[in-house]
Amino acid sequence: MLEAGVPPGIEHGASSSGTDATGYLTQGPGFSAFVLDDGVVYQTYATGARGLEFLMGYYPILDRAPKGRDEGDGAQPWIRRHDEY
Amino acid sequence: MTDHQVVNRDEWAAAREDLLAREKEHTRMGDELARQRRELPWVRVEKEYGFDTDDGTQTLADLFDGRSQLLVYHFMFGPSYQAGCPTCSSMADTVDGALPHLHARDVTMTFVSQAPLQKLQAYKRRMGWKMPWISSAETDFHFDLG
Repeated sequence: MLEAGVPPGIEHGASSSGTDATGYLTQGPGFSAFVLDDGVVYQTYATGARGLEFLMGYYPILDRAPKGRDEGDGAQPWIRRHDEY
Repeated sequence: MTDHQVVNRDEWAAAREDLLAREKEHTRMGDELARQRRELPWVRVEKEYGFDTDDGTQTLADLFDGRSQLLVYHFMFGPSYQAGCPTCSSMADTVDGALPHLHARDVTMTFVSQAPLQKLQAYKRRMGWKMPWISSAETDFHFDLG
């Protein structure tokens, strides 16, 4: 179903994670915050997509390099696991 | 020869001063946003979840690990994955080194994925991370909050 038009970022993510696009896309990234108050758990915050960039410590560093992130539009086609460069 | 604008040092210092004013504005706006983020209303989590962890089955409340604040990153590592998503892995690199500083501020941070715990443990060993990483495979957590 997805074979015809899988975006390169998804393709890269799926193949490098040892699954196909359909399997890859059953998952999505996200961040949630909770507080424990008097034994009760409350959710206080949630974010996703580019709202997750605060977790990528290298981005603010690259933003101060002459060429910046230098990745064009779309999902990071250059990213590798730290033991795969 | 570069086609980027090149100036003398005085002109550069003036341009950089102008940008500094914008950067300071951005910093102050960030502070204000953070304040508004903390003022968001809370929503009670009513459901009981049983996560598969290094220390056996744990509830959401257990995951706080003695602290009052819990941050959860939903790491893309599904049941069919053989390795974790590369971008999520780059985030784990960032978070792992920050853990002692988060703990010093009464904050626990954990990663959660849908793959079975054994897969997560093996990949975590490969990557050399220390952060807690739990499996939500046996829960609806992924669908409720992922």
